[in-house]
Amino acid sequence: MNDIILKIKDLTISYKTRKGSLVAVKDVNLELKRGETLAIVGESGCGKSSLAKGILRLFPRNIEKVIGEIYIDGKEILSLDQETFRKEVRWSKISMVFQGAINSLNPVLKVVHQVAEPLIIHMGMDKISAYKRAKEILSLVGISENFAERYPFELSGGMKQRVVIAMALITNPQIVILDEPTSALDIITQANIMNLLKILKKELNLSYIFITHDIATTSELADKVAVMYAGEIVEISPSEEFYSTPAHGYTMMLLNSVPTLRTDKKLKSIPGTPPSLINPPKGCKFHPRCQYVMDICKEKEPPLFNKGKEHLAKCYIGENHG
Amino acid sequence: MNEVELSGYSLKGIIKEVLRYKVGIFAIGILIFLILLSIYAVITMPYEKTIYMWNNSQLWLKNPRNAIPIWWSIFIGKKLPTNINLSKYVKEKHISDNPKRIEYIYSFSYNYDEFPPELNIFFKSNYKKDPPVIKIYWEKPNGDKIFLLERSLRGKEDTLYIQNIDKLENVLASYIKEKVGYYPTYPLTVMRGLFVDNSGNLSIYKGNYKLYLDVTFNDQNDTINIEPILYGLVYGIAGTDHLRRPLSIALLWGAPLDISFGVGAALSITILHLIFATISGWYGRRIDFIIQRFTEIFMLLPFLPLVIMISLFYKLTIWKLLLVVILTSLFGTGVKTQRALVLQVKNLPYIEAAKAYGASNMRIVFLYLIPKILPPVIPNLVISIPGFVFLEAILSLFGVLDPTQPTWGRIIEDAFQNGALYKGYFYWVLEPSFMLILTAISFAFLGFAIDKIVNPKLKEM
Amino acid sequence: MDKNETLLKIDNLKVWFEIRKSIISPPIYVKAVDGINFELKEGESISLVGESGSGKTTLGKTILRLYEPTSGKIYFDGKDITNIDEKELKWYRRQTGLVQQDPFGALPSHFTIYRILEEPLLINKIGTPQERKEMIFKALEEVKLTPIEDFVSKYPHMLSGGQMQRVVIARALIMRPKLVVADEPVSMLDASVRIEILDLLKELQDKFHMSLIYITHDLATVRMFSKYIFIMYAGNLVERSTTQEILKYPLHPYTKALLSAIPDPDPENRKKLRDVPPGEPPNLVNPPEGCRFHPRCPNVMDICRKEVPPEKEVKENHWVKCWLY
Repeated sequence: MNDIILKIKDLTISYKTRKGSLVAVKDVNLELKRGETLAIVGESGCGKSSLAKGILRLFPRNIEKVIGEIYIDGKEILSLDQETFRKEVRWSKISMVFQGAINSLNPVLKVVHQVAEPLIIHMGMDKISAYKRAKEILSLVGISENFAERYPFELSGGMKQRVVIAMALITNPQIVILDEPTSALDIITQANIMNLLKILKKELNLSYIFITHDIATTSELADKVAVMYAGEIVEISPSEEFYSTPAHGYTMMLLNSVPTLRTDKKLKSIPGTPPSLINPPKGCKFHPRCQYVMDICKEKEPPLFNKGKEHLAKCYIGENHG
Repeated sequence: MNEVELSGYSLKGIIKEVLRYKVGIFAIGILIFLILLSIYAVITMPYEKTIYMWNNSQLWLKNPRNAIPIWWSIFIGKKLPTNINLSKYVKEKHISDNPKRIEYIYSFSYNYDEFPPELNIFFKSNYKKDPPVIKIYWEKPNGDKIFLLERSLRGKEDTLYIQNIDKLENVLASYIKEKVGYYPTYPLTVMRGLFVDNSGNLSIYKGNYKLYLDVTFNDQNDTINIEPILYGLVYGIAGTDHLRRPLSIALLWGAPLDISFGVGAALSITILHLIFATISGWYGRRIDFIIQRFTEIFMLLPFLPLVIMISLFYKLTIWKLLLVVILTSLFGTGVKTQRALVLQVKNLPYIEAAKAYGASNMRIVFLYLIPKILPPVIPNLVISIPGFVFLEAILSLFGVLDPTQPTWGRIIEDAFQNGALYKGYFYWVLEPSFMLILTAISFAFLGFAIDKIVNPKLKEM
Repeated sequence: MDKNETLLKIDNLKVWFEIRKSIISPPIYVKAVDGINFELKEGESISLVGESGSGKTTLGKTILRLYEPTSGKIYFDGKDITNIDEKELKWYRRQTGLVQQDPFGALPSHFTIYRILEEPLLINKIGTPQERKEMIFKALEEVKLTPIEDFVSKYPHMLSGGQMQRVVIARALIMRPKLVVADEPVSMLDASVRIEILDLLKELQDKFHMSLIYITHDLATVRMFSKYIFIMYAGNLVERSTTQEILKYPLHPYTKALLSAIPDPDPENRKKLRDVPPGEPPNLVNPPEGCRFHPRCPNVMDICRKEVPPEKEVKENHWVKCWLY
């Protein structure tokens, strides 16, 4: 049995806009092993949410092109028809905790119903069994039966986040995409949710794709970290190496721009703003802002270089580029 | 951050955005047309003069009654007669001096497919003692000259309504019997008799006609001015109504009147609602309570019956009606919906920041609050304009409004009063209705286009 | 040298918000700030740290008189400003500045940047039009929004988050206030931009010798600014001391929890669970009896459930409200 549960090959997603074609995701290649957590780090607008939604085939109205392949458990899913994908893949094999989901809970439905809904609709379960299963999952994430029978407005932020996680787990998926699961929460609640995610991962043997802009919290879950910039994966590395020996200019500058509690270092922010995805700069897309920029960066787009064990980066630093 | 943002709140920016949508282009096109129409109306026919003209039936005697628009005849397929003022075809023949006797001969050709409705001869004469005596002869294309009648003028000004002179029917009937052998089998009117051919059927004798007017004066110095008019079935671009007034005047003037009524009402009411809503939302508590309860009471009042009731007590011109409409809509739904907007904006950080650097309440309300809630209010304003335009029309139909003002609603009212549809004068109803609907559509589309701009969720990528 | 006079003094300040469920039922109160005492000297900066519902934002805004104090006193520059009305507050408004959390909402979208910065000057009738123009240009330069000509005629939505926040800072500082309250000034900005804005704030604070109250929930950023940290929980000030002290020797269990909750980028993190108390901050309408943290506290004792702990100076200049001490 293949150890690789998710494989993304040369994925490119572009949108139609008034000003032209917007390439939100470009040539993304990723692999996720069973039971592994991959973190995708990037600033707002880098394409990480587009990538996440793309995996679930949730495209907006102005979608233009989707090129590439996505394999889940060896089976290609982009070429499946809508119905089959909806029945067999979306939410059954892979589900998602959306950014800001706690604000999207239906205020007029009880929590237990919202968690049970996918079972009733997708799997045709009867209401009683669905509710029973929902309550099981809810207690697994730390919501007692008492609170399961309440409405979302009666729950605190951390509890709502647990509900949303329960909704993603109800159909026993193998992969869960978490898009900024804790950014709206208080710091202690964040830590509690992270603890929960760690426990669930072990107990249910889940694989996570954890998307965030906060490079510090990635270390809470990630086995592998991928950095996304202007729609491309510019670096991917096992977390052991990632924080200590980053290989891409952007990663290095990012790690130096984030305040930490326990280590004292000279911080420096990254100047400038992310590039236009309609008219990106020539060569390496990060070069206008990079403090390590070299001439070749402005001319030629860097290919993926091998920087170490399973460590790849699209950066000319340290490379002989004659 | 959204790259596809509003191009600022400038008027130019909004118009540019509106033109992006097809409905926007359509709407602005029609609006420009209506505005040009209004400007044309105001410039060529000043208001006071128009009202005078519209209510002075004497001016229109030389127009046909209930004539259809010229272009309508295309649909009917026949050539319909237009108004012909025969005085331009006159030839004077001096017959004798003592008594002074002049023969006026009017020759014209008639090649239309329908009978003319009327033939009226207008006389203006200056005489010392006794009025001149007129003998009238009619010559058909085949050369037959028929003696019609002899009469003396009944005053310095006199009009002869040929089509109403019953005894002429007998004269003409006899002529036909002579020619054909039997009395006409179809109902004979004077006009039919004058223009019918000799086939025995009711068909028009096309050809050259002559009208002879033999005038005998009593005194050498008497003079006369004759204007014979052969009325047509078509007139002008819009036809005429029952008082012979060209509808084009009312259609033209309806534009500025109705549009300014609609815009005036919508604008005033929206502004008033905005002010009340802002005061209500901003100050909250007791003021909010009072204003909201007032609003609810006003909303319960039945608007149309109230206005009609008021019109029974007071004579309402269109401008007084405007005032009444504004007063009865002082508090309305706008106060509630805009208050909701105010409550949302009230809690935005920039309002708090303004308080922190010392802005007064008034300043915040007018410079920070209202400009922010204005954009969503504008589409509603624009879309409500047609409602008020129609209101004016409806009230005209109820006979509530001043009949002296030429508005589109007035035309429809006149049409119904005179049984237009029953008599088949469809154009009389269709034309003003078309203008009303055109106006309504253009404002509605404009409102929708602006709504799409202002409401980012409706925006199309 | 520094003028070290007391600029701000807060005396047992309470801010309670009234909620009326209906006209007939008695009012209930959200006790957002429940008895705070501290002093702030000129040129000094303190951080108010706490989670949501701790009352830190309410406290900061009440100090600026954007909320009305329910009881207690606020003294600014020796004057009692607790209850004075708006007209008299005008001079106070000139002396204070506010930097808000949400740059998108803090700037009025229908004004140009120039106009936004001109407003405080216009309202307080400062300078001639020419003088104002100079002040505005200088302000933009100070926050490093250059070239200035580019920015003055732009509208807020044309700027990035970081740029907007610079305008917010420029606006807060344009009248050279003595006291600035910065409420989570960077939490809505991208991680890579935060340090830049914080640097700027620090630089300007030093340059103009302003007192700064920095409100945040992110302890990692606190080190840059403040000499003092005030830890707030559920409307109370539970611990206060210098930054060094708190970060090295936290005393209150809540402070300890806050510190252990923050991850540093360390790949070992994923292999262990964080040591944090469960639960969430309490409802402020009916906060727990006694010490408000007791339901979550790992060191809870009987007395904690019944009585509110008094503030004790456990070490030099290190105050804690906890029965453990």
